[in-house]
Parts: sequence; C-alpha cells; structure tokens
Amino acid sequence: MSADLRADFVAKINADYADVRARHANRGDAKRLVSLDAARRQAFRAGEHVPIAPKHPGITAFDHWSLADLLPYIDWTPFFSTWELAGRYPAILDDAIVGIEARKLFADARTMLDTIVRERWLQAKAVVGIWPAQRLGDDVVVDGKTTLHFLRQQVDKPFERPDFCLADFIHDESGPQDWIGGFAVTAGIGIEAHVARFEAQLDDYNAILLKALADRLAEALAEALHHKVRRELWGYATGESLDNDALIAERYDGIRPAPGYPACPDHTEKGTLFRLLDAEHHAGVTLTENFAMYPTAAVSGYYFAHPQSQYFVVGRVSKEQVEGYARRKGWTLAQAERWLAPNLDYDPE
Amino acid sequence: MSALPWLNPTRVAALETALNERILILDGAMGTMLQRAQLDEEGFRGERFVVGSSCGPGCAHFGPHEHAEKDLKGNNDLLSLTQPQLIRDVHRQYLEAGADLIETNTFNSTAVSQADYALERVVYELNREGARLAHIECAAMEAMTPEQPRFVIGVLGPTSRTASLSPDVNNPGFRNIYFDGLVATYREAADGLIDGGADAIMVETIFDTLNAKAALFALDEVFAARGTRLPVMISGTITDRSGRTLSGQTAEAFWYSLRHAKPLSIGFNCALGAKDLRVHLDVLSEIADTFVSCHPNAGLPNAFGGYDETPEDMAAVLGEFAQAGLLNIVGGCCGTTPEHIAAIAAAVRGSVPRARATPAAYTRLAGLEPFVITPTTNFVNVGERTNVTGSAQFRKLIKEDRYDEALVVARQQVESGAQVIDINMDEGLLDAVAAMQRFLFLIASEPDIARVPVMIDSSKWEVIEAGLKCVQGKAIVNSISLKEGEAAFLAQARKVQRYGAAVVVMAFDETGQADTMQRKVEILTRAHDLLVNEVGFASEDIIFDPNVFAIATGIDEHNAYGIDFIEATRALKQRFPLAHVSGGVSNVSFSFRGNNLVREAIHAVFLYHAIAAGMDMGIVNAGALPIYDDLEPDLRERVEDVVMNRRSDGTERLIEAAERYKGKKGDVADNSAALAWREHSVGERLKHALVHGIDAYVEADTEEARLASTRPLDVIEGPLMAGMNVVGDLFGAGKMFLPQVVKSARVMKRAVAHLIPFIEEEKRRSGQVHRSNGKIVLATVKGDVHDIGKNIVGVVLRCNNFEVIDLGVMVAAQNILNAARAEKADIIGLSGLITPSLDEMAHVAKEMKRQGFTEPLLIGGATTSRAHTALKIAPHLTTPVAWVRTPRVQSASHNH
Repeated sequence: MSADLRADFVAKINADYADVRARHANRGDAKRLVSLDAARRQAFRAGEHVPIAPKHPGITAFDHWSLADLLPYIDWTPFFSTWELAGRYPAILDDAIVGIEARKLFADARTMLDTIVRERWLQAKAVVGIWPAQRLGDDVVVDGKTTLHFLRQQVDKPFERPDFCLADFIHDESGPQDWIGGFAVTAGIGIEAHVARFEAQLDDYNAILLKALADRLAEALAEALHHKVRRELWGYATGESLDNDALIAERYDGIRPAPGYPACPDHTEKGTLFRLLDAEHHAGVTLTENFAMYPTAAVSGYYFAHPQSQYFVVGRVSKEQVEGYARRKGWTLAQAERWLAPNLDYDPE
Repeated sequence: MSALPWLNPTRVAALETALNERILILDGAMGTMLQRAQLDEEGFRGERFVVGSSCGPGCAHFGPHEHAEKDLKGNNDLLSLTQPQLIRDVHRQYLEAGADLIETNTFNSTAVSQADYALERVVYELNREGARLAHIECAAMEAMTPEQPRFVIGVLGPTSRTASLSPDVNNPGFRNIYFDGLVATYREAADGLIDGGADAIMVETIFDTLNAKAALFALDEVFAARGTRLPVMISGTITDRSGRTLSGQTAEAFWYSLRHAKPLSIGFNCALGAKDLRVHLDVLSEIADTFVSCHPNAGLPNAFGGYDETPEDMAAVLGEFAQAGLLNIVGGCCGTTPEHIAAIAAAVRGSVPRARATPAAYTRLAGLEPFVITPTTNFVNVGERTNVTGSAQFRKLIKEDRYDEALVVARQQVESGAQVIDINMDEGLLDAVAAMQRFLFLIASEPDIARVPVMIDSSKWEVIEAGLKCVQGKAIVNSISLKEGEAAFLAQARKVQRYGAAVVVMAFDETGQADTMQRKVEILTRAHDLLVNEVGFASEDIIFDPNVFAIATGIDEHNAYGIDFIEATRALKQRFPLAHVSGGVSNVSFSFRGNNLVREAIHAVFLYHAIAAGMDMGIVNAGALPIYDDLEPDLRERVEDVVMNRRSDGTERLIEAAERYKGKKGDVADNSAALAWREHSVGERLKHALVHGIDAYVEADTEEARLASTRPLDVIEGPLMAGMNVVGDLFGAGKMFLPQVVKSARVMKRAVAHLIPFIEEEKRRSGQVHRSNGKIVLATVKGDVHDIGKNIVGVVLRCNNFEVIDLGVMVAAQNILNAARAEKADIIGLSGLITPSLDEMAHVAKEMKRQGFTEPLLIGGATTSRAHTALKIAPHLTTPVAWVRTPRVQSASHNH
C-alpha cells in the first residue's frame, strides 16, 4: 500500500518466487521415489494378527453427547496456537513471555466453557460404523459392497521399513475376517446463533473464542469416542485405562486417520465415508463441494484396530499411481491430478 | 569494590593491551562440537562413573570409580572428567581457528545444574578441570604463537533456575532458588576455575539478572577471601522478540544493575542471531564505560532445533558490527563451529576496536527499565504509600495478609507518577524480613510495578539485606548512617556496594540525630567522604537525607527545622553536585495529622523552597501533591511563615487558620487504584481503554469526545488511532499478545460503531470520510468453511487502520471479485484450510487476470505455503501476489 515501499517490496517478492520456481524446476532427483510395484512389494504385512470382532458392529449414533463429559478430554495446546501463543499446555501458563496472557485467555476460555455447558449453547453428535472389511490391493472393500480407496507411500526406504498404505492394516482374502471402522462427530451444532449474537455486539474476541472452543470440543469428542470404541463398541482393548495426557500422546492401539490428512490425502474419500455412515442424518454433518465438513467444528475418519497400525505421510506419488488411482475411482486423469495436486511428484499438463 | 591486587598482573596487562589494540576473538560452541562425537551413556560415564547407586557387596567394578545412579548422557560438563581429550580437541580447534579467548566447558558446573544428574559433589572438580584443560591448550598454542597470547575464560553459567521469577504461574511469590543458594554454588565454582588457571571469569548467558548478581557477589567474596582478584566479564541474553532478558529487563537496565562489579566487559550472547542482537549492542556500546562483547547464535533455531547460519553469514554481519565500531570481543554461541570462528576472525581483522564510552556521571537506577536522573529530571518522586509506618491502609493490608491488594497500592503509586517506590515493613508484630521478601517477590511478577526501581526501607540492616537479595534491578538502600560508628557504617556500605545498590545516608552520627543545619552538613559530608574514599562509592550513588522534622509543634527549638533542612540542602548540593538530597516530606506536617488539606499545603510550600535549594528527591504520596501557586494565599503565607521561620508567632497563626480548614476533605482522595485513569482527559481515557481493552465506559467516553470535537472523525483520527497505534506497536514489539489485541480491537469497534451514525451524517453534509490505510476484501474460498485465522487477520488489519470487508466463508470466486470491484478494494485476501482450497485460490487468480484486476492478492491459511503460492498462483498473474504467514510469538520455552 505504501507508495514508496511498494516497488521494492513487490520486486523482492517476485524475485523470491521466481527463485522458488527455478529451484523447483531444477530440483532433479532430490528424493527418488520407487516404482509402485516396488512399493507394493515393500508393503506392511498384517501378519499373524487375529482381528477381534466388534461387540457392536454396524452403525451406532449418539444424538446428544454430554459436553460436560468431554471436558477431561480436551487438548489445550492447539487452542493456544489458534491465538498465536506458541507453547505446550500446561507449561505455556508458566511461560515467562506469554504466560500472563495465556493465563488470562485460559481463564476466559474456562468461563465461556462453563457457560456453554450450563446453558447448552452447543450440541454434540456422533456416529460410528464398524463393518466387515477386506483388503483388495491398495483399497479396502467394506461390507462386500463399498470400496475405500487409499494411496501408498513410494518413498525409497531400506528393505525392513514398509512403504505404508492404510489398506495394509486390513487382512486380504488370504487372512482371517477383518473389520474397519469409521466415524463423524461434531460439537458445533447451534453455534451460529451465539456467534451471530457476539458479532452483533461487535465482539470479535468472544466470537473467535467460541469457535476455538467448539473446535476443541469436537476434537475432544473424537478422542472420547475413539476411547469408547476401543473399550466398548468394538471392544478390542477392554482393559485399557489411560489418562488424558496418555491419550494425547496416543499410547493406545489403533489409529483414526482422517481423509485429507497425510496418511490418506484424498479429501473426496470423505464422500464415501459419509455415505457409509449416513453422517448427515446421524450426526448432522455435511460436506461442501470441496469436502470441507460443516459445521466447522467437526472431525471424521477411519478406525483401524491393528496393533501395529500407525500414522505416516503418503507424500509424493508417481504418475503411475495417480493413473491407477484414477481408474479405481472412476476419474479422468485430469480429475485425479486436480484432487491429488499437492501429492504429485510431477507437473501435470 | 575494593581495589585488590590482580592475581596475575602480567596476564591482565597483556589482556588489556590486546583489547586496546584489536578486537579479540572468543571461541564458539562447545555443545555443538561435542554432539558430533555422538557419545552414548557409556561415553559420558567414562570409566569413572559406573551405574548403580553405591559400592555395596555386589559391586563388581575394579579400579577407581564411583557410582552415579542417574543417566549422565547429555552432561557435557562431565566430559572434562571422563573424556578430557575430547574437550581439549575442541579447544585446540578453536585456538587454531584464531580464538584469543577460550571459554571453559563449565556452563552447567554449578550445584543447581548438576543436581539433574545428582553430581553436585563434583562441582569444584568440574570447574577446576575445565579450567585446567583449557589452560593446557592455551599455553601450548601460546608457545607456538607467542605474539598472540591466549586466555582462559572461566565460565559461570546461569543455572537452570530463576531467582526473580516463579516457576509456578499460580504462585508468583514462590521461588525455587534463592540468592544465598546461588552464591554458595558460584563460590565453589569460582574457586575451581581460579585454581584451574583461569585468566578471567565470565558470568554468561544471563537470563535473570538476580542470578548474575549472586554470581558477582560470590566472586567478590572469593576475591576478598583470597586477597587477589581476576577480571570479570558479563554477558546477558536477550530473549527473542521481547527485546528483554527472560526476567524482563531492557539492555540498559541490565547494564545499570550490574555495572557495580566494574567488569572488564559487558555484552550479549545466545538466544538470538547476530542481526537481531545489533539493536541491543547499540545500546550497550553507547552507555558502557567498559569493553563490549558479543557472541550470538548461528541464527534462530530451526524446526529441528538446529542452527542454519553459515560461517559466511555470521562473519558478514559481525564484520559490519566491527566496522560500525560496536565491538571489542566477538565470538559465537550455539550452533557455531571453528569454521564460524575462523570466518568471524577474518572478517573483523584490521577493524579498529570500539572506544569505551564516557557516559556522564548521572545516577543510573533500574527496575525492569532504566531510570536515569539527569539535570532535566527535576524532582524524583519516591512513592511512600507502600510503607507500613507511613500508611495505615498499607499496614492493615500487610498484617491481614492481603498482599494482592497491597500490590494495588504499589501499582497505584507507579501509575500516579512515582519513579521509585519505597517499601517498608518495620512493624512490631510483623516478621519484616519475611514480609519484605514476599512483597518484593510478588512485585517481581508484576511488570507494571517492577519496571521502576525500588527503595528498600528499614531501620534494621537484616531487613535491608534480605530485600537486596530479592531485587534484580539497581535499588536504593534506605538507609545507613554513622549512628553505630564508623566501622559499622563502612561494613554496611561495603555490603551495599557488593549488592550493587545506591544508598541513602541519614544525618545521624554517634552523638545522635542532626537537628541543626551545621550538624546536618557536617555529618553528611563526613559520610560522603568515607563512602567515596574508603568504600569506592560513586558520588552519584549517594543520596543525603538531612532529616525532615515536624514543624509547628509548639516547641520553640523545632521552629527552625524547616529552614534548617532547606539551607543544609543548599550547602550539600553546592559541595556535592552529583549526589542527591532527599527527605520524607510528610514528616514535616506531622503536627497537623488529621487535617489533610493543611498538611498538603505545608508539603507544597516546603517542597517549593527545598527544591529551589537543590532537593531533588522526596518520599511523597505521588499523585497528591498540590501546586504551590494554587494554594489559597492566606493559608500559603501562614504556612510559609512557619516553614521559613519568619515569625515567632507563626505556629499560633497557622494553628488558628488550620481550624478553619478542618473537616474539609483534602484534595487527596485515595482513589481505588484501578479507577485513577478515570480522572484523566477524555482523550487519555479513550487511549487507556483501548490499550487495556476496557470497554465498560467506551460509549460514554466516545460520546463525550464527539461532543468536544469539531467532527466525529476527529475522535477516530485522534485518541482512537493513537490508542490503536500503541496497541500495534506493542504487538509488533512482542510486548502485547493476540488475545489482548483482539480485546483492544473490540473496544475500538464499539467506539467506532457509536460514531458511525454521526459520521454518515457528516459525510452527507460535507463529503469527508476517514482515510484508512487501505481497503481489503477478505474471504474464505468456495468449498471451505474455516475462518478463525481469517477473522484474526481481519482484527489485526483493522487495528492497523485498514478497512476490512469480510465476505465470510464459502465465497465463490465471482462473488469475491464482484465485491472487490463494488467496494473499490485495494487488496484481495483469500483464506483456506483444506487442500482443495488451493485449487480454488488458483482459480480466483486466473479470473482476476482474465477480468483485468490489478489489485495485489494475499494468500493465507493452514493449507497454503510460499512454495504453492509461487508455483501455482503467482504464475497466473502479472500483478503482485504474496503469501502471508501469521506471525507466532516465541514463548520462552521455545528458545532451546
């Protein structure tokens, strides 16, 4: 905006970006990918693990999950990040630079949280599905009918380190009967009226605070639900007893990756998941045309129960894998390149 | 400090000669180099420290060994004992790279730090061996290059605890380390370093000045015990964005708090890269009458905790510092290697070393911030209300354990203009030592109080000493005197020097209080000369208190008390222009207790004349000083008669007049501290409300301001923008954080909302609009619903006087462009969280080009990145595009 500073500023950015483009073009063989076949040969083997049958297969829905019950599951560290105060909770409250500000914010947050719970500002809903499943290549066929499509790492790793694909955590036809889970939760139902009220009062602070708290509650619900799934609904870890710090540190068996996140970067898979769960009906969560969840304070994902299942980053994939994925999804190559744009190891067109 | 002889005068002479001739090179990081050896637990233990807890019957170890139960991996200092060759290798590499000064591997060689490994028992040995190893290598190198002497710098690290700050945010008065504990371990460490052959001692990486004071105190005691001394070097650490040390001091306050040690050098190291340290070095360079040192990190830590600045990077920046005349000693801290040091040495070779500053001999005090008394300072107000002997209210609060409210009294004094606050806990039923310590500890956690220096006030020395051990700044001791004779006076004065404080001297000697003008001058002259000649005090660190006594008591001998003080002041200031004259002003009106109006009139008159005579400091109720000219003339005359002792019937006449004023409430209303700001002008009130985010009065104040302004826009462009500028500056400087900024913005929004109808009206009539810095259209793109980040950006932009049109979420490209056109936006900003939004943003960019938009495009949101913006968005446009990263303030814990 500044008359005298603009030219230099713009020139600097242009030069910087030109540099980025040049380096990108010349990046050469920086990180070699292995071929898809080689990656598949180096898949994770589900091995001898015998899957435990779920106690409550099929769909289970929760219409009004008690917000008060979510409070012990809240992970506060990301809350402070939202407010641009960097540090881990609870240490950040003691921090010499931001500690005082963090404490004030935390006090305001706790006060609003009490009000949210007491006056029922928000409604939390959840839906779980646990279905029989079987791996088919890099995909998982659910209930014999619906296919979930996954991508595989193609990183050049030493032989003992697998090139993971989430499908690897499910047995194929040669193994015993296996199951896969899915979930969608939200804590943001009813938030609009309260946000509107704050905005009418020109109160950005409380509007932002409320949204940030709703996000935390949704994550807490995802944690609480996963806990319940492991111990009761699926029941593969009935003896588990972990406190919230241990939960935050993921010291349990099994994972809950979400479509769009590094282990399964294709957001469009949410469409399939939501259909399986009938998420709009059971949990009040819908998807935009780009597969963002609405209400915003929502979390969804899969449940894998394999004790060695772990999170990983698919990262870059080769054109070969993209072509194969497009075929499996019923897409044109261009469509696949659009939805997988950040993961392409090559420049399309 | 007593001028003890040097332990090794030839070495000191060589060091000083070298410093005068050229910039000396300090070595680089030890830790970084040791990491390369990739030692495991066994490597750290060596043969000496075996596992297990003791040599019981089952102990199968042979040869000399001892048991260490805790894991020792990471205890780099221990390697001086278990892998001495490694340490010597690192030293040699730095010497070969050209270092003149080698720091010993003793950064954590204190009991506090070694407690993590349960190895407190080897502290002395660690220091001695650390120095010895460095000494061997330095001597060897010097033998090879005799024209370049190499010096062993014995390092005293800061320990891992803070004496000024509580580790428990819920208990600000709590401490996990005290002054005495630090002194004890530093003494042991210093003894080791000296015995091992150190040429100088450096107190380094100081993040808490009180810890450093303990180190300097310990050094002083060690030197006194040995009868010889070593040069002392001091280096502090500025914590990231805040521009202050961890314990909250500015660079200038930091120097003032420690210069009593008369160090060989002062400087900064660690935490920051060279570039970021420059501004702080500038400060030191200008004010330090000693050498200046700098050993920065190789840049700021990256995501993995490593350091990225290359030798060339660092050398280029430091070479510039050298040419700018900022340096005497330069080296590297975390992340640096012999390559860095060699490059730095080459870069500064040939540069003229910095000339030491010659600052004026002003009194330089410090709280978190410096306070310098210059000739233009006029009168220094020392707040008197935090004094249990002078304030019934404060006494009550302390006795009833209501320390939180007691802090409010202190804050109120500072807000009302007290430049120093006097703290006194001398009450029969109080444990004064405990109360003083507790109150000082609590103040340390309140930056708006702790920013000013404190005056530690007690008639008992042990209370004063306890107080001095709690304060990181440069304080004032109130007071010492010759009451108990010269020996006691000198002993206490030496202690005051050792703690680095300035001192108030009472006009009291072995025969009693000074009640005449001659006695006041005589006693205080004697005290001054003793302090300067015997103890080495600087004249400007001495404050005379010639005793303010009550006048108009009815006793004739007391009639001259006012004029005696005034004349003594005049004489003393003439004799000792650098020293100050102070007094407890409220004593003078003691006879009129209960009659506040008259008391204040007496204060006003007394001060008027005393200040004219040279009184430049007073213990007063800051905020309750009436103006001489405003006094009712008859009362003023009667008061003056008594103060100046002009009439023998002065007392009677004043008493008579006082009757008329009795019962009238004094001007001094002890306002609830929090509402003192409501007394200010409406402009000041708006500014205060903005900066502190207080919206309770904003509509009323805005309306008041509007009525007092020509145009409603003036209210925005005046006090509201002034307030938001302060907010913006504080936020940008890392002193205010986002939640507070958002609260301030909320106040601004409400004020503006109140004005909008009037502004619209004004616009209709005259066409005048508020000029913002620009208009920006913000939107979360189609298909995406996340907006917290976008909303925060909107708040911050508004704080910086941008007009923000926020279109909300899921906004289609065409709607964004339509709005931009309709609003004549200057900038378009797009936000997105999920990866598909990246595509959408590229689409918006393409459409902008196609439809002829030339406005700059800003891109932000969790899913965006510089790379993506450069590769996928910018190529669609010939007009400017920029990716914006939201800034993150580093918390203290993220600096390692």
